[in-house]
Amino acid sequence: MSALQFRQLRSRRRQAAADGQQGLVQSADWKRPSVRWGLGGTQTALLVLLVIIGLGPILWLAKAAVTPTQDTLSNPMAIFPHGVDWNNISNAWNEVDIGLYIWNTVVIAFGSWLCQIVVATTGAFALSVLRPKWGRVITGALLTTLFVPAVVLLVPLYLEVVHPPVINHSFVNSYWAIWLPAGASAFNVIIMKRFFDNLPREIFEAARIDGAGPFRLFVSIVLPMSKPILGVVSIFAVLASWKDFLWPLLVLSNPSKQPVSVRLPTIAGQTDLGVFLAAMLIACLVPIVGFLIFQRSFLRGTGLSGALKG
Amino acid sequence: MAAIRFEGVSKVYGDGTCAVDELELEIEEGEFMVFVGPSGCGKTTALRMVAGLEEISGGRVMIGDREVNDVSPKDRDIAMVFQNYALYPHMTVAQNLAFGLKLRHIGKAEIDRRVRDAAAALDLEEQLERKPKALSGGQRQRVALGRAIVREPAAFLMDEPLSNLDAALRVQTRAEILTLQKRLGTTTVYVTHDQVEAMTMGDRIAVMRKGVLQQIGTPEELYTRPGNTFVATFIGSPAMNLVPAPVLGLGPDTLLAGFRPEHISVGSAPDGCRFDAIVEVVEYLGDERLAHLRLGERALVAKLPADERLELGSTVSFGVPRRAVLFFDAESGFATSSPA
Amino acid sequence: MEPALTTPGVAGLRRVRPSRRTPFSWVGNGGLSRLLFLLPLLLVFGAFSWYPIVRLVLISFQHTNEVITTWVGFQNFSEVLHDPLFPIALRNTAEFAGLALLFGYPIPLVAAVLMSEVRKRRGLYAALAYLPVVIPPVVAVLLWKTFYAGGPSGVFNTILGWFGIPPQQWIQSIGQAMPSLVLESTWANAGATVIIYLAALTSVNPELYEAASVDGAGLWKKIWHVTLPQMRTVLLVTMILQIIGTAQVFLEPYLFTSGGPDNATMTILLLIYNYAFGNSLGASYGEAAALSLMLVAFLAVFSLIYLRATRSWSDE
Repeated sequence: MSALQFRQLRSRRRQAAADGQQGLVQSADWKRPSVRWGLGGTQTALLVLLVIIGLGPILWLAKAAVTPTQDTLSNPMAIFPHGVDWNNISNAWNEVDIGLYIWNTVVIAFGSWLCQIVVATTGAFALSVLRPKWGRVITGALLTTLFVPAVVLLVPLYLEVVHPPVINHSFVNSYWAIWLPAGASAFNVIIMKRFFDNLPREIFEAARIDGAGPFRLFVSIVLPMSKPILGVVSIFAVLASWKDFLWPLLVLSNPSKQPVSVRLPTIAGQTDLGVFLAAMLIACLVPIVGFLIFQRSFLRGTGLSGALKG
Repeated sequence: MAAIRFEGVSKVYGDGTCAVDELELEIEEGEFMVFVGPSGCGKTTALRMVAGLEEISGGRVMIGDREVNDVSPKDRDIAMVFQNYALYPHMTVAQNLAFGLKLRHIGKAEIDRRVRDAAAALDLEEQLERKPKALSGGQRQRVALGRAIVREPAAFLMDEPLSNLDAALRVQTRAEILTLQKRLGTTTVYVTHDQVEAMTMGDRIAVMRKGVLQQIGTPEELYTRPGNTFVATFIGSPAMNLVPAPVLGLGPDTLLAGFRPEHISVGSAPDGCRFDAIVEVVEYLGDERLAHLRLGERALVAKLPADERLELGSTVSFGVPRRAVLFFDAESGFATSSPA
Repeated sequence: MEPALTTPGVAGLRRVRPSRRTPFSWVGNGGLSRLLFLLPLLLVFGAFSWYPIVRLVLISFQHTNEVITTWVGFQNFSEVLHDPLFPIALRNTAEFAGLALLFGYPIPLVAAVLMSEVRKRRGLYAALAYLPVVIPPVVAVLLWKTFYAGGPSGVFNTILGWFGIPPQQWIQSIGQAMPSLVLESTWANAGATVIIYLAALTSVNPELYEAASVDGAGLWKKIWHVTLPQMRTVLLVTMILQIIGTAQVFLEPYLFTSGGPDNATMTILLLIYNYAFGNSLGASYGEAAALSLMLVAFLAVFSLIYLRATRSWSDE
């Protein structure tokens, strides 16, 4: 199916969805009262449930972050019985210094993202477009790592970071110990390779005839055409990095270098509840805001990866 | 000096399939050469070997007086128009046209001139700042042509460029491509599976089948003097009628007699052969009628004047002029001279 | 002029020139650039993926105290198997995986089916469902830890109080600890499953539904005969991935309960962590590695059996 035909099919489907012809329930069905009230009612109930369950805890967190700790402890479900208290947030910022840890998280996320993009784009380009002799072997090795659970790597990676084989210097407390292993994501390489595989080969041939060598092809043709998949990989790279806990916990023992996810549990015991909740809220803000902005890429990417795993 | 020459060129794949078998072919400077044949006949592979997109397994390809077997595509001074256009989707039309020129370090002023000239020649001036996805199929095809034109190459290579257009657009664009080529005088190799396209466009046509060149000649030569039964039935629509010679009383059964639908007339022909056939179906086309006949076990097609009325199911006498009949060897398929 | 003809060629090759393979032609053919482009991948994966995998196997047969390394054969494996915590961890992990599957597998499917029929603002539903997934797991767990505070003024206990239900112990109770963990884990992860299902549902060819309608199928029949079969592959893959994922649960037991109360939430991963990093004097990397290997082997075998058993149902 050519790119043109695929676009036509997709817009036809969208039109069909807009017409309501798509799916289990046809537009004719909706006119029947039993369907409209039964199915519609269930959907509304679902929406209410989603708001309560999905949004509820976060809303509570937001509320508790600006509520004095006493109130939160004694009457957790009440809404501002004694008014709003912004001190928690300022304390979180100043005493707990949540800002430093968020910055650390940003730095770690950026480096991890860069490593992943570099490894995935160059590797997938080589495997998909340049097609070296050993390509199949390498792809096979990548696939097997895909099936290897992450737990496998913990112990040996840790030992490798502490006692690297060639260099005589421990990488504990260095961000490189997090950035570089992050690049070893077989999943990234595979979905990017699939994307490159689906690019029309004729465009590469036209570029060859135009005189483009491999680097030109990569920079001027393949990368600009890959914006969608780069977006998806980037979002998941940053998100995964933000959520990462165990590996930074093991590798970064110096508190001033730790990301938010490692720091929060450590100070949980010693911090006032209200301040702690405020710190957690601030820590959530970046992923939530990022999600709201990049919603479509998130959702498309998850669906894409789900469909690809099948 | 021939512009492009195939010297015993072969293409064999790793699993042993032979896509092109010892092709010997010369294309003259400025000529519009058409490679035609059914799918899988090797025409596209041959074209791509000229482009440098397929490795040559045997023989050599010459462009000008250079052997180009190991020369990379960008150094062969050729430009290619792809079936699916292969436009760079993230670049504007102007950037698409300029890309190859930029890579060759051609000066900006020269690039601008060429792009503007090509856009003017192809009526694309309004589209220069748009991206391919905003263009119609016909416009995209013209951008693909433009990309080839700006390169001012020694040869154009076109791989079925019209097959993605609807019928009306195809006819119109056919004429445009020909006009353009005549004006520029660039040697062109054009691949198609459509014999009508081949007949109307080519200075000469090379008919291929299963990797083997069947015949090469002008459209008229191929039509009036096909070299074997494949060319005879491939060129011309409806296809030539082929019957064993004895059916018309024209010779032994080692020969096949071929005659084109337009040479059949109702009633006996002046110096011709006669045969009786059953009229099965008649298609009225306005300016003529196509009659599908049955002679014994064989199906024949006749092109008759529009006012010739035939009764379906009836047996009618038909005639074919003797000199319109071509003879082929029944076993090998090659054309032979007529028996005495 | 006689038409030019060729004799039908014999499918053999004469005059085939072998191409000269020299280092120059390798570079000219792009061999060098192929290598350069592959270099980041090869280096990173070699150092941080393939080599550690090999090393893991080696470590599991060794005993190391960071100074001296000795080969001890299967000793690590037998010590793990004889550890009294091992069967407990095994059972707890199975319990977690099972409960997580029970809640985290069908519920997202029902939600997704309902969502796929939503006309307007389907994006809102999807965003709400996915929101918990975006929250960093550490935050989610610590937040739910406050929710699970025992006593009548914990958040959940307060809500229960509205319905007249007495306050629960949640993660402090041996019986309720694991289900509490599953509850939070499902909240945090089900959204991703919903989106995956939703994508699969909306990619079902609408013409199949139309044909079924014409054939007279009602809603349930359509779900059974069109929707589920079309989603076969996604459903099967999601299940195995979920099982593999939940078998490696670490964060919840570590942060909620540290494996307690009384080892009620000790899981395999937590055990591995304790072997390697939990002991203050002398880490048993060998045992950690051995248990890791055993887990991987088990999951691999399980996956193979699963794939075999479901091959007849899947499209491939």
